[in-house]
Amino acid sequence: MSDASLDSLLAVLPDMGGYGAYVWPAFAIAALVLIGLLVQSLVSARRNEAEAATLRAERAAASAATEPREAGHGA
Amino acid sequence: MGLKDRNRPAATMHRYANPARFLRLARAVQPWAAVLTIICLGAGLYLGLFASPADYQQGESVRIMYVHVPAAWMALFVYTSMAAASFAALVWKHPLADLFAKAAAPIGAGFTLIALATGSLWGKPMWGAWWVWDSRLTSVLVLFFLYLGHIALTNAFDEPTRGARAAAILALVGFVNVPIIKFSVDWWNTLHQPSSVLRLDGPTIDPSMLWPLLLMGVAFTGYFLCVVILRMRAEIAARRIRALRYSRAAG
Repeated sequence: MSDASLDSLLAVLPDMGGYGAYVWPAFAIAALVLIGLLVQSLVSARRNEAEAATLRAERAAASAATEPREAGHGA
Repeated sequence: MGLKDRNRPAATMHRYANPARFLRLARAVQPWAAVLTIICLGAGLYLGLFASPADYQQGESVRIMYVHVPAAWMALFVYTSMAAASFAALVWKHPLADLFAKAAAPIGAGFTLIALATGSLWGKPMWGAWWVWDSRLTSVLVLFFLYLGHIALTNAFDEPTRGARAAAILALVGFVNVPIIKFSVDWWNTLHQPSSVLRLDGPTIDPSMLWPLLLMGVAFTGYFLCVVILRMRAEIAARRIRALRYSRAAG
């Protein structure tokens, strides 16, 4: 972010008795770290759980095709 | 399960070692933790940023405290929980304990980074320096490196169980740093102020400032619970993928 756009952002926010340039970045850094971690964790949980489900479905389909008599005893 | 009666505590614990049982519990807890986090975060931010008074010495810069202090609490709490989990992993070989430590480390590192960065942003206007090598700041920096070391060690081996074991030993050895951080402000001369909430003689901070602080603390704890469950779910699924791939390649 350029200095000009950072200045205009700080101008919109309450000036915090002159400490705005320290208070707002502190909350922004915290938000950035926490939201970043949350999004990364959400994405990897969704992706891994979907992939595990696909693999298991594929294996179930494969074992049903090769061992039709044992399909009823599914593990 | 074939466990004898005298192993009762271990037996109850191993019930939760079953990922299916853990996943059911996790899915039940997750929405409640999320709602608690959102409510406390909203109330804490409103009180902390707007409705609480400015400090008579620090002015409005005191508002940095409402994110700095809860983040520092969490940095210590998460590390302590990782050390306890690592103990359970090494002594009882509890498989979910390793999973917890691996999932918690990046979140703990995040909280430590927030505590360091926000402390720096407060230090500049109040102390006139972004950073000083005093006992509290230095020991928290060491905590940050312990988290990074834990993450690196967990992923350093081809065989995940060896990485988990090495990381568990690091977590236990590094735990000595936790009381050092907590009591550094009492043991040594330091610029950092002593605690005003977690004291034996009760908080010395005004209720108008204590409330937003506690609300943010609850919000951060709820956040940790939500994200650590998500990361454990991701890891359980990743292990399942590995096992399924392996059995496909083998069979």
